Amino acid sequence: MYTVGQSVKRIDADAKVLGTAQFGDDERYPGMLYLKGVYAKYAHAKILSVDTSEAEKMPGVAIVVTAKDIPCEKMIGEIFIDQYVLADDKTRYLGDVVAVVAADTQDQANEAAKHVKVEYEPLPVLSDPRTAIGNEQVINPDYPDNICGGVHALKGDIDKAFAESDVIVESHFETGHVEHAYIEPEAVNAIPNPMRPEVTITGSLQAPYNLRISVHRCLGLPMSQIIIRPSAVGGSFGGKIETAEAMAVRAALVALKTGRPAHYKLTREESITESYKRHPITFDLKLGCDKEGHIKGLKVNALGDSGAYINMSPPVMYKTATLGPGPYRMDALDYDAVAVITNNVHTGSMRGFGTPQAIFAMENTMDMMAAKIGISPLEMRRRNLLQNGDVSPCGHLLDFHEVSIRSVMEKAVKEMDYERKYAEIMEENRDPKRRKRRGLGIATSMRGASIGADGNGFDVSRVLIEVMPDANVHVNIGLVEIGQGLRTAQAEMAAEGMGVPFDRVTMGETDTSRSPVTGACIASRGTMMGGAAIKDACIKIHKIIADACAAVYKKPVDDIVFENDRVRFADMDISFPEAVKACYDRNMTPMAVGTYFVPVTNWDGHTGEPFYTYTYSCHVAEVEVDLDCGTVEVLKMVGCHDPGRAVNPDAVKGQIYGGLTMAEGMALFEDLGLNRKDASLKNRNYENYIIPTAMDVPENVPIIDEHHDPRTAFGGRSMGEPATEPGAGAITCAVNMALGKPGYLTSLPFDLDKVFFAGQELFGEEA
Amino acid sequence: MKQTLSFTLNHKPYTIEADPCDRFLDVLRNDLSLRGTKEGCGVGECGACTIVINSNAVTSCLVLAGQADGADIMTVEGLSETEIGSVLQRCFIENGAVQCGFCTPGMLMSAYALLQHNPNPTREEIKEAIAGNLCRCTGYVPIVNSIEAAVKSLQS
Ligand code: FES
Ligand code: FES
Repeated sequence: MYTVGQSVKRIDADAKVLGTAQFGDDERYPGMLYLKGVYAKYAHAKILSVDTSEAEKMPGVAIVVTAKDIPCEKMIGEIFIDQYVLADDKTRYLGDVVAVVAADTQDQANEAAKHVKVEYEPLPVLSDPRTAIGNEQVINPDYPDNICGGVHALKGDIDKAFAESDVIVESHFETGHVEHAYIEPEAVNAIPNPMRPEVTITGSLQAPYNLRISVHRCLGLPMSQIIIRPSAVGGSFGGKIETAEAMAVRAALVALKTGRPAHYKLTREESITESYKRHPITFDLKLGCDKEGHIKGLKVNALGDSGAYINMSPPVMYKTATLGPGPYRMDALDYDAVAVITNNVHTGSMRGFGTPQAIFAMENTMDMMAAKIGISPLEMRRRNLLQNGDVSPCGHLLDFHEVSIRSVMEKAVKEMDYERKYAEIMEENRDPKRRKRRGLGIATSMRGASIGADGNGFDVSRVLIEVMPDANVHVNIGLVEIGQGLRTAQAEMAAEGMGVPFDRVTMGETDTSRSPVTGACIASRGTMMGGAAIKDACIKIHKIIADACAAVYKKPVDDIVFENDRVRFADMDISFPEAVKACYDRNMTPMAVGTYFVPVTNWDGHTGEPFYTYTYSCHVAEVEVDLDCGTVEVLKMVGCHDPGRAVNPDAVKGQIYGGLTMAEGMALFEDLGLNRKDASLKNRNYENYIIPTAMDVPENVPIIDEHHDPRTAFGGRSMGEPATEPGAGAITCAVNMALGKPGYLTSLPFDLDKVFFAGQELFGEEA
Repeated sequence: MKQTLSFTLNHKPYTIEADPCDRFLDVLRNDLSLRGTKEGCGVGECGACTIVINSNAVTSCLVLAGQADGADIMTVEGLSETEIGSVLQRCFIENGAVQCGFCTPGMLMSAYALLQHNPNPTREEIKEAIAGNLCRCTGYVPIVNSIEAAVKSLQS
């Protein structure tokens, strides 16, 4: 009996359907204060003065805090420490918070916040990354040209590759800001301990150990007295890290200064104003092929908008450059991705982390090339997909696992009935009078698992497992459940690793005072990294139990096996609880910290092994474009993925369904309405920021194509990001096919206006 | 100005003092400590705050407390005591409708109102009934499947 591979019931499902699951905003504490932030009036301005005196006198107000009240450092950040918890000398974007008011009720806090007086001296606003580079107006003095970093991936001789190419395609693509749009707006609580300088922080927190560092850095408490306990998290997708952290530091500051619990939630408008987004990236591509369509070389210049704070920009650019070329064979690569600081809303981790944009640009360019050569988009990909023993675009020899992308793509196109539909659509689209035109799109990806060589040596996970005297296996792990079902997958891996039934395993809530420090639940690393740490802890506990059994039963234990709740050694076959009892009888402790770190890979900053292992994916989309109204109806999407081994197949399918839908939103609707004059966002709630509803989503089909990965503990890899990354590429390729011109529309989203005008341009008005 | 308001909530009679201009969502979450009903947008667009008033699904962020006077109200906390509600809850779990769970109470209430009016909805009617409930995690297909499964289960 194996637990891994079973779709066991989610361990948090009951609480979530009963309405008893506690999210950050559901918590209430005696004497709690309600917080309200005062936002910047200008995206870029010197702060001349902040006068809180009037607000402080308003009814119910306990305190108003500003940057001056932060006792230690004023900035936070996961890698680059440049984000102001409270704006100090100047504002850098409209989501900067200048002061926070705390009052007995939310209404009182909201009212008093209006009475905080801030004097500004406006500075020029940089909102276009192209003009921000080298601009005399500098936003962060540490980066005098406003460029905050990037990666230049290189392989082979690009000039030679282009010289040897028969066909060259050059293209330009652009993407905009995309909101995570978790349905739960950020909410945190900070509860002071009356006995000692200690604070417990709860709420919508994706990266508890990073937050602990931030509180430590800004407020100076010892790490043990900063306890982070994420609540149920109402969706995150990479989004509840830095913003929620800044909020949590502000709340902790209020809690420590007043001795009262602080409750701080954002409205949707505040959340969209303040929280970081997916990077807008502009791409200039040049693709060279021989006359059969075999890729010789790819050159890309990508420019990402980092916004006001660096946040994750350089690592995002790392993934753009190393994963953007896709799972395609090529002799030469020259992929330069750079991020620029502007006064726009900052940009950071979001599911895919720089790849959905790059795949969108690459796959549309592949279709342009296919058209030029005279082969179908499917054939174009078939001729270029990587296989076992190939070298990846960045120079990684793929000889360590199954390079399954061909199998994955063929399963997806078969489910779509691609070849039949393609012939049919090409035929029907020959009619120039046709006003409803269908299209098909294919996009593929190879996702580097976890952080990659960019974090060589730092990619670690830890877990604490304790086997209780009743043989209950209790797991404390800091890789947070953010909705994807990770807790359940971890429990399945712990059951399998320990050799016990699933219901012996219990999962502690993540609590930094009980689970050892671990890297965050980001970068599609939760299952893979958590699984490997769990395996390590299980091996260590098995050793402890084996020693106890040897002592108690006086038998050799070198062949001991833990399986199906039995423990077998020598001629003994005892139950797991008996073996645990042996441990406690001997005063031994079946408890261990498991640690895993990704082996350092060979990467020189440009070429080599950018990741330890990869996940292969393919999305195929069928759309219908209505030329007369500009609407795009997605008729069907297929998402096929190789997760190595699906730890919980239903949960993997859940990721795929959700990922396909998120991709649809990015491809067709989602637009924050950035105004480049003042760097404001027009679409700050769901009446204007349109995400897909049940009416927009067709009967999508998720497919799992397993090829166990020898480089991971249970053969599995994480699926969070692969599930969405190729989708926007597939849909946009399909729209451009429907328009009869691969690569015609070039900037996301392909919304009503763009599609309508494209129709007018290409096919004229209604006959 | 507080007034006395009376209504039935989850089959129990309530009489409370509240400002009739308060949002009913806040009355539920703050005055009555029923925090299963969520707030995702505050403008009637996300459906996380959906409750059922007089058998209609409504977004409680747009309902004033005064409008609740005399009404028959259901929230997620009362669902498991009803047949339709408990079947829906079971089917949501079994069919992958729950990921982060933040949209779940509102989704369940929209589905509950639908099945009260229409015990045999088509897939299209199910989609329409939850069109006002945003979910960023599940891609909706598993939610529609769950409601369909509940319909089947209730009929047998
Ligand atoms: S909170 Fe009421 S509809 Fe969003
Ligand atoms: S389950 Fe997360 S929003 Fe629906």
